[in-house]
Amino acid sequence: MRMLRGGGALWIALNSLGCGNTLPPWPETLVIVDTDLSVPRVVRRLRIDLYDADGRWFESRDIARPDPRDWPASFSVWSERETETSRVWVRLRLYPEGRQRDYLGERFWDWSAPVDDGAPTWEPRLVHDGVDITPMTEPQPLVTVDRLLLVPMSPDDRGRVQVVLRGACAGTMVKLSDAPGDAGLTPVAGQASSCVAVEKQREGVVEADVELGNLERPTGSLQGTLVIDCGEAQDPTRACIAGGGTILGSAELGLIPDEVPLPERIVIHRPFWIDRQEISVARFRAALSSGWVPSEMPTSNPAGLGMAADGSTCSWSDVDLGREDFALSCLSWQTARELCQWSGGDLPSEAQWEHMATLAAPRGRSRYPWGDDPPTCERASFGRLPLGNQGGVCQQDGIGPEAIEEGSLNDVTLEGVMGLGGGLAEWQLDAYESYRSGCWAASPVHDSICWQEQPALRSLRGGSWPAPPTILASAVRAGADPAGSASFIGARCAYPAEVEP
Amino acid sequence: VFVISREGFGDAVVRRSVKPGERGKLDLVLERLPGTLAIKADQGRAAVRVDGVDVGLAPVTLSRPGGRYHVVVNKDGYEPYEGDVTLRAAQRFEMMAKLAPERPGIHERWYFWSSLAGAIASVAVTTWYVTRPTPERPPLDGGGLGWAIRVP
Repeated sequence: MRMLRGGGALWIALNSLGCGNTLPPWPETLVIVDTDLSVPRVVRRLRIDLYDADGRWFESRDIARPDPRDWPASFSVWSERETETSRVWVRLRLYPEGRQRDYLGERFWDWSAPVDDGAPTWEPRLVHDGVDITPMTEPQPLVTVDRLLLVPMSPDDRGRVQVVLRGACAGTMVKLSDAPGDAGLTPVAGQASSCVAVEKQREGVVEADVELGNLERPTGSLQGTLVIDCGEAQDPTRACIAGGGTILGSAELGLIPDEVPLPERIVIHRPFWIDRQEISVARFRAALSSGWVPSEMPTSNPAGLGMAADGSTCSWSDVDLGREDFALSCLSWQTARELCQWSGGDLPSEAQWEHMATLAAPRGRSRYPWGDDPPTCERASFGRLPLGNQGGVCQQDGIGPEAIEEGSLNDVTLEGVMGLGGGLAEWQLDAYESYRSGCWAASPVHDSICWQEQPALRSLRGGSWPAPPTILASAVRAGADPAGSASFIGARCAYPAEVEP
Repeated sequence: VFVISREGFGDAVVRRSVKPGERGKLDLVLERLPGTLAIKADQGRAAVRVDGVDVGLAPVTLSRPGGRYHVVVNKDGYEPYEGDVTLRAAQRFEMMAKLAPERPGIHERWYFWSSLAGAIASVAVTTWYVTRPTPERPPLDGGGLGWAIRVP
């Protein structure tokens, strides 16, 4: 029942005279939280922090919502103030499982600043009845959709507020206040801002619109709507990689300290096509026959395949020497890109490559292109070269590269992309820079890429025939001189899908 | 002429001729004289009963032998008037019955029933008030998470 403002007091008076047996509902606002990111593959935890109208932090909760059916998630805030509208700051943070950092105090980080952990302030603190119950951790900002709301609770009626935590806002932290130092650690009206829909952009937080009289909880969710198919297949040699969000980087690769791909970040892709196989010698030769002229030819190996990671294992030869079904190696980044562009595509970005190489786990990201099973010699083409005094893990099966079909039949993703784990490392479009670099800080959330015109190194992704098994993990990165060529480096091409975003 | 008198009785008079030296017996009968009972009332058409016998409407005058009589005077709307009268022979006794308007019983008073109704109502209301369920508010919603977080 809708009541006039302040009608609660009248209601209570009438009840005290025996004129009724119910009281009006407390002023309550239902907060309905949805997301367009995929659950649980990309995000699955929701952190809720509440600040009163004066900015005092009084509540913090964190819950796993890994089931897509759990979305939209909803909870309510309510007040005992029956004669006036009260307000509460609601900070919502949506993030992947396990992506937390120690809480050292509120640490605002902006895109333009270097990625670092910031100086600890240990403030603000969450105190209940004199007991400090401040959470020990907080979500990692770069993999978090961070949103601040100012939610009113009307004495007129109960109602609801709906909010969508959009993947585009991943990595854009809430800014609680413009005030420097400790004064900026709590929300301030007129100063607080957070990302709503456009990546890396914040909007001032204004009082949320409440649908009074409506406490209905929607059953449909936007989660996963970023996953867009490519449309009708036109070339059987290409596989569709549906768009969507993914986590770029991995904290699980501590065994390779020089290449730890951190910090992780959430990126969003449009759908794209990808070559099912690495570029083969036959394809390169066919392109040449079609009249395409590269600016630089791959290193030619006029002899039979050797047993060392040098020119003797380059697969290209000026004339057909029977290695046409081998992946093309010993080509420069520029040559690889020219062929892809001539084919109507381009080299994939690191983000695209990692996205397609981590799709094999239905409820998260897979460690390897085929899933989470550790690499074996039957699975992929790797370990086929003695390294130092160590024998190659799979050298008993042969030394040197092998034909695509032989080496990648089991090294295949759910989408039918072969040879991502082993075979050849593949040139990427990106400059090879640390994820902490300014290049990556400036990269967009959508179709993320670290682009530089003439970097010292270009990125490589994927294991290769001489590589040890640790290199086959999908998040492992490497870099190489783009002008150089090596017998363990090849390429494959990505193509845009002609669909509406 | 022989005359015998006694209070309350009429004189007995006998005329008889007696010869000298004559002895004889003379029977004399004294007849008791009645009293007069006059009963009036200050209200008209009041019924008079004497020793339980309706004797008419006041005022009424009765001739009765001396003795004790119970007189009741009744009239609708008035309290009955009752009294005992000792009437002597030849005496005239006048009785004035002052009839007092009949006073209704307490249960016929308006305030009796009003008070009773009020008392019953009070008891009922008090009982209800004491035993009524505590007024409650509709439950908080709490959303799908079941979290209804109070804002201080």
